[in-house]
Amino acid sequence: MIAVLHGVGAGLAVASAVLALLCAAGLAAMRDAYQKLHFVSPPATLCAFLLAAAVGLSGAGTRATLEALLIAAVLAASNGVVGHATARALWVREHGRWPPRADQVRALRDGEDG
Amino acid sequence: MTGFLLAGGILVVALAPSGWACFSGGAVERVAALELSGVLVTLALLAISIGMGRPAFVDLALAAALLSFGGGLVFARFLERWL
Repeated sequence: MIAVLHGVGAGLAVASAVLALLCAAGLAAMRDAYQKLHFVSPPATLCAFLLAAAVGLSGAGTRATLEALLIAAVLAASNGVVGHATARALWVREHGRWPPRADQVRALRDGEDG
Repeated sequence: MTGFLLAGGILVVALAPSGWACFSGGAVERVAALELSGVLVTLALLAISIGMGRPAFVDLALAAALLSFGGGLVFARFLERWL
């Protein structure tokens, strides 16, 4: 039973790493910063928690498991803050002010519809 | 534990496209790639420390996560105000 749990843990760790590799390739392939920013989130949230679960299943110890969960929580929480700050910086560099005016939001929405 | 070492190796390989993106494109694109690199380094440190049988080294991954958060915020603020 323990061997099965260790195998599942190793599988989760490898799956997490492969997903992170795909996201890195996706980030390199995208054209602009708004698109690239979307590829930061999956490694910081899904991959981190998958790896923390893998650490828990591998029998590395309670302290290592709790620290892995703490790392996953820090990455997940900080990713949203840093992602928003980066996107806001890009908006300010392009349009000069934050928050966006109503007509700018309307123009964006019309552009998506059209 | 070989699964964790394999995962750590894949995560180090994943730094290559992310590092390439750090050296191409505009300033904000590079910052986005740098943020992803920070996440990848954190996960790689975690996987390698478990794979090597040294759980005490998980503290390094925790330090990397906290430092990449602060670094990302500073870069974003700097880009918004001065560059």
